[in-house]
Amino acid sequence: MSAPARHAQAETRRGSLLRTEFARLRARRFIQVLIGLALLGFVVLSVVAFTQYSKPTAEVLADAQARLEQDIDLAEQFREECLAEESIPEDEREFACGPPLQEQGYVLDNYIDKRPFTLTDDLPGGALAVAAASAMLGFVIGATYVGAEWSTRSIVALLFWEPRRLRVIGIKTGVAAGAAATLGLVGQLAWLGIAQLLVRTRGTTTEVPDGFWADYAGQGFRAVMLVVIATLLGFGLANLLRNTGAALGVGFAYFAVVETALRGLIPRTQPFLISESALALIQQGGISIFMFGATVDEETGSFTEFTEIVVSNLRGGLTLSAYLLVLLGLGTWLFRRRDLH
Amino acid sequence: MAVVEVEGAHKSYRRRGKPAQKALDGLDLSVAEHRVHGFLGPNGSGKTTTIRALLGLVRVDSGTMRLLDRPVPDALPEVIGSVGALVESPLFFPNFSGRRNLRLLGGVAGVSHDRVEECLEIVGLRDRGEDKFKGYSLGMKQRLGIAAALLKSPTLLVLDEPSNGLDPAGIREVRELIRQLGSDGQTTVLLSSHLLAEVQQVCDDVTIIARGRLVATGAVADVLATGSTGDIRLRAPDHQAAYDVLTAAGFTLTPLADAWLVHGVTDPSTITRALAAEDQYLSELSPVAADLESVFLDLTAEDQ
Repeated sequence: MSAPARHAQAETRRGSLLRTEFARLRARRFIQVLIGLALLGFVVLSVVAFTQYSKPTAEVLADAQARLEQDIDLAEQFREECLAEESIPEDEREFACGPPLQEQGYVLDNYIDKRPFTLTDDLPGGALAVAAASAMLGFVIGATYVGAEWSTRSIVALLFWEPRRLRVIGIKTGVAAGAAATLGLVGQLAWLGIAQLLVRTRGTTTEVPDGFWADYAGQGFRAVMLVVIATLLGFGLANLLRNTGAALGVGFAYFAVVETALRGLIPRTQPFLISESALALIQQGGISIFMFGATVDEETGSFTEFTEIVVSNLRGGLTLSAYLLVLLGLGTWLFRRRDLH
Repeated sequence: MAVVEVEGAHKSYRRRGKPAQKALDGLDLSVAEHRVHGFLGPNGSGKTTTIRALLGLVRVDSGTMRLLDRPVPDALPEVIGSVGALVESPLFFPNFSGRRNLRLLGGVAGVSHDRVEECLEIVGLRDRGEDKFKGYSLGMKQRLGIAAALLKSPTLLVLDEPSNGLDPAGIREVRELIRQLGSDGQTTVLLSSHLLAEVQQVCDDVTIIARGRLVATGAVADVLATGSTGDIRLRAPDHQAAYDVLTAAGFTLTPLADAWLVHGVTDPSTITRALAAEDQYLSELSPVAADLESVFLDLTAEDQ
């Protein structure tokens, strides 16, 4: 070993720590593999999507239109026969036979084997799927990012350079959130790009209703929020358990066992479950949960009482945020307080 | 100035279903500036707990600690930039190369890539810098840990068992490095080791602890003197005459190959006086010094 030279004393800076943490996250091979697999999956599903839609020719459209009109005529004929049926009391016929049929009630796309891609029908649904996949990926990345630090104890080595534990965990949380936001945003933009290609090559260029893009942008924003929350849930869980595998195991057990059991055994907990809250957060208008009660049997027939609970975007987001705050808060408190070996 | 000061440090670890275990029991420690200070103690005596407490990883229950004249852990952020540490095994990402691990650590404090290369050079790993950490031998891992501790060009270097896993050549290099650092007039080294010969060879001062308490401290030579055997090795031109004079004067002697070993001598001048009175003169008189191992075992025996 050669003689050491003298240099200016090292001083830890917040910006340096932030840059280093981003570099550490980017350099992790497992995370690179996860991102690569996700990218591959996205490409494969995009190719599949291109095979599932088709821009209809004039001939196909005319054929579909003819079959649609044929169905309407047939249905109208049945209605006329129904209205003429003498066994039904005259004052009840309109109710029993239904209102006059309109063409608007029929969807032309349903008469085409390979329907075209439409922005109004397909874009939000795809964004939802991309958000869900990104959220799952984010959960794993968040867990492995801090879990590996605990497994290798390199988080302890870092404290030899920056002993302010709150700052260390705060910056790590910020880096995880920043990476998650980037992941969520890139996922949404990539889907939007693919959707534009699908519209041009496999879709119809019908006008979208007023406010469509504003609603879609809102959904995209909430999708990015969901990815951030999911990533931080993974991060928080792994930080608490100090192990990636344990965090993923607990996550799997929760979603596969605990939520299923709660839905079946204690249905009123559904609005508070993570899956329901996540869907409520990103789906436009939130979600409705129906809780069925007693079945009433009266002379006129039987029906089941139910209660509809609407879980709005805001409520879904607040529920998830509450879980996140508890998890991160507990992990941070323990990290600050515990002796480290 | 004392670079490290610990006064009355107590630390107990709670154990489920068992009484709390005392790791530190009123420990005092003082490390003088620009010296190499050995920190000795049997396994479980509290050495690593002390180092961890100094570095803010463990909180003591009571007592005060100062690093570079600042109270820790409260003022640790002010002085951590001047403290390099290797505590037990090096902590690095196994899938990153040695170079990347150092760059990531150094990046936290804006340490340049050049400095990383220098430190790799110092520990002889520059050519293996691109190898993954998990592929390193135990000795190479230890060297990388030392390189990480040196990155900050520390004023205080804390090394916990730095020779672990090193081959004999590596051990010698580490000891030379520690000596160089200790003699550069800028660095203080706190060396925790179970290798008594290492401490005796490398350190200026030593602190011996047992069961979380200070047992002995001071310059290595002074601590060794406390364990003096009271034996004197003696040679005289007239071997038998010297024996006769000293036995007549009440000394107890044991023969060696070409000398006598005189036992229980508190003042060597009593030997020279007795021999001179009978016109016998010495060709050699040397106290038989205790080695650190003997002193250590004597001092810590009652705590085992």
